[in-house]
Amino acid sequence: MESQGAFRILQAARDLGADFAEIYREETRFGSLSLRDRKIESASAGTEFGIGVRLLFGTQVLYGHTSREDEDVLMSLVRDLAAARPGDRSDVRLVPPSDRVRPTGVHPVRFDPSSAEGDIRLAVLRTIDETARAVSGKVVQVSAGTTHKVSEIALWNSEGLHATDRRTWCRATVSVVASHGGERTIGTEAPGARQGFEFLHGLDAVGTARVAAERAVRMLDAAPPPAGEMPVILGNGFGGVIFHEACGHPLETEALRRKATPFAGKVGELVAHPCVTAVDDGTIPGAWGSLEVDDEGTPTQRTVLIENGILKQYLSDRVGATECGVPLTGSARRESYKYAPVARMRNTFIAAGESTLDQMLSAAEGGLYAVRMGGGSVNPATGEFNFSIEEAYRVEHGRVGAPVRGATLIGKGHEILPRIRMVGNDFQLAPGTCGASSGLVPVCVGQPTLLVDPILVGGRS
Amino acid sequence: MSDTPLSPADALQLALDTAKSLGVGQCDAIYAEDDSLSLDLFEGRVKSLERSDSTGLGLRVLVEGRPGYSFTERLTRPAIERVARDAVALAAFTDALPIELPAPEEVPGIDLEQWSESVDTFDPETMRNLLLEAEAAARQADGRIENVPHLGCSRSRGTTLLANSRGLFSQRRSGSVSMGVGVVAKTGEVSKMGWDGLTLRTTGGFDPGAMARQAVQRATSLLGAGPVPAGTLPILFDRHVAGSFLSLFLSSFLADSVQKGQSRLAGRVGEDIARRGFHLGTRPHLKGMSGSRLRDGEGIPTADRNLIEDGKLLGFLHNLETAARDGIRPTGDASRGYSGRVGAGFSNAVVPLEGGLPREQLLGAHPRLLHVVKLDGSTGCNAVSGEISIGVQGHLVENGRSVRPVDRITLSGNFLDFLKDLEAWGDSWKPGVQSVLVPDLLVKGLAIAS
Repeated sequence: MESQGAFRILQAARDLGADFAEIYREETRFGSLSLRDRKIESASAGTEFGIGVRLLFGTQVLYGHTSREDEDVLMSLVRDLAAARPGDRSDVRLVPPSDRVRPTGVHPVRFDPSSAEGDIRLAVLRTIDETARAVSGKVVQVSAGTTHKVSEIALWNSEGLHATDRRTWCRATVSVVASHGGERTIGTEAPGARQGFEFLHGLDAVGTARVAAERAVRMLDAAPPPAGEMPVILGNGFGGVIFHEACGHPLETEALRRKATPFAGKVGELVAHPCVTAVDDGTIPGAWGSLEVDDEGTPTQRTVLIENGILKQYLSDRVGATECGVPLTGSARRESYKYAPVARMRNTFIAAGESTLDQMLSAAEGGLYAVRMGGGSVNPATGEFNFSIEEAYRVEHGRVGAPVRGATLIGKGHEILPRIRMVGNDFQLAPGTCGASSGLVPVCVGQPTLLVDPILVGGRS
Repeated sequence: MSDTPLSPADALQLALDTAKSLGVGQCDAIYAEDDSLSLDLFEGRVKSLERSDSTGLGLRVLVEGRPGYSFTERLTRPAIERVARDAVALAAFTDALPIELPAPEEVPGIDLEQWSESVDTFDPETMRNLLLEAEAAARQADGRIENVPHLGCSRSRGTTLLANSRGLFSQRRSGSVSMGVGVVAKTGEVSKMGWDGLTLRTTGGFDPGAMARQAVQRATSLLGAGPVPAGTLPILFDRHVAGSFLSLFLSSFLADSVQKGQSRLAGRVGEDIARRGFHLGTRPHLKGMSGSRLRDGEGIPTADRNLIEDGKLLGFLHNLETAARDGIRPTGDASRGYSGRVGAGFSNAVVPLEGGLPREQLLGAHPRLLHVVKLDGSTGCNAVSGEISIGVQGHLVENGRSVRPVDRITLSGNFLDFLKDLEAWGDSWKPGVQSVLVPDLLVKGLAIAS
């Protein structure tokens, strides 16, 4: 698609009364390779291609998409969308297209997955398989995979913006099953980055495989967890998934505009323990959740959400910022052209503090050390969350005690924040995939080790 | 022009022909298109309207038995030729599979009632009016409703075509309409959400007032909830959550999971794994349901079949690959989208109603039980280990009557024990189009942590 054609379509949208119009063109190349049962079981590639057209009437969103690029198809999509709602004609003329916003190269790619150069995927998968199997005779199955994608984005809007971006991601996944005496456990790891195949060159495949396999084997002997309210030490890195789900989502304008968040109207108020500072940062070079421009063409930024316990800001897209009267944070994201963009998290984390793990273990007697979280879910409207723990230990005599498995953490996000008593000095980010109304997007969660006292632990004994 | 999209049938043929010209012996290709429209309402005004028009084509080649996959959402000649080249190149990475794609074979002429012209009449104005009525009804129904954050309607039409190098060609068309309402009730600082929704094959079946009142009732009935003491109680999973709960463990029935050490049901065919009288099966020929189909994702004719019959495990779900490994005839359970590899699954996963009891009888089956109406997250449930650890909300029932709402508890146990401990089941599924049909399930006891 050329800019002139895009401009004609945007003008047609304005002529039909839209206050704002936007075209998002995407072509994404995917590739994946997976190993299971010592064999390469699948090798696949593919191309997603399509164009999304968004019209705004005030803050009302009309969105359509198609895999056809012809101007007449897009024109009729615009007419169909506008016809589906009553609206007045607007006489406002468009400003002409501005200079293009181009990628600045914050996330340089050395080995572009579009070419075969630097493709060491097979070697990485074989290393993971052999390493994990060598950890213990109790390892009965190893699955490993790599995925990559390269997205070419072009965006035009009725304010004259023309932005382009090229985004590359690469990820490895490891899943190890251990079995002994009728018990069966699974350990997983999934590192990733906004990089090309150089990510695999830098990956510690041996270490990653070992961590997953050792966890699966250790958890075979784990007892049922204790139950009830108790102090819980949340491990660094992926432990941040709790903040992501229970506090991050309710801070997105998509929740705010539905009045479905316990944080509505609380900017400037103390919402967390003063030792807590939380940030959503899209600018970290190479990080899995980083951007250059967001999916509305706004440059990404580092957004401080909570500073020393005080709520500072929400995460916004254009519609959310307008409707809620909050600043634009460059957080508009979408899985693909099939989704209208809304405010989403990027790399969200609780910043490092000063406490050590030993100090936290001393302060958490009789509690639980949740080294590695599984996934979880939250209802933003009520704040209720529920998370599983993949690897946990009892805290006994100020030390890491016996392993337990099958524990869950239950609570409400806004009630947990004030109960974060200690913030560790071992900050780490971990990649994940976040699902919400604009689809699945890559994000990082992160935190140092935290002591939360108390949390309700669901267990058996 | 080379960049003009091809018709679906021409695109499929070109993919197969190009693959053959590259020396591929066997190949199959799938084409899918989806056309949908959805509308969201909030506080009386249309918040968003979305129209989706998507297409895609996926190709699998078997080069001397080695599979390679590729897909595209562009249906132009160069894009499809590239798909064939990519799939052939990728086959070099993989290990060979001992499979033979099916030849064309007649399937019974059953109308599975997947499609109605009336879907097209479900237009934005109709959707808006239904949602306005639902929102008003929700707010009128109870003064404690402080927000109606979710009000949505949608319609969807889809077509899937499958063709292979042996001349098989099949088509499946479906359409549906949906409506959902989510409300938040609040007293003091406590909020509870309630939801109701329905998917149908034809329009005209929605009762927005009743749907809103149902959502309101679900939210308000949980206000004032608190934990019950830790211990063990009989659990009645309401039919509205029983299917979601069971789904967390259904991958244990995939032959692929069994063959790769990821199912605890491995080696147990022929054993009693559930209560006598209990059945679990795949039902591809149920009229109107979303998983219904005459052929599976590889073109094999489908048939109704039990995996658990009278408590006994009879077998697993297979595609061509897993059936060949076990040396059995294909069972017609393959599933496939255009962008992924061939998998397997239940068409419709069904717990039949025979032997089922009415709700009142189930509620009164024990002096004290927990009636679970809401699941809070599912990640503590693991199909590989069989572990159950899940937060739930519901009602404490004594002598058949609800005495108080319950939340902030988790249930724990193991799926294999759950099947063994099933006591009884209900006599109805929840209404509407779905692919997991499970009635109320009463289980003897699960550990409660609070």
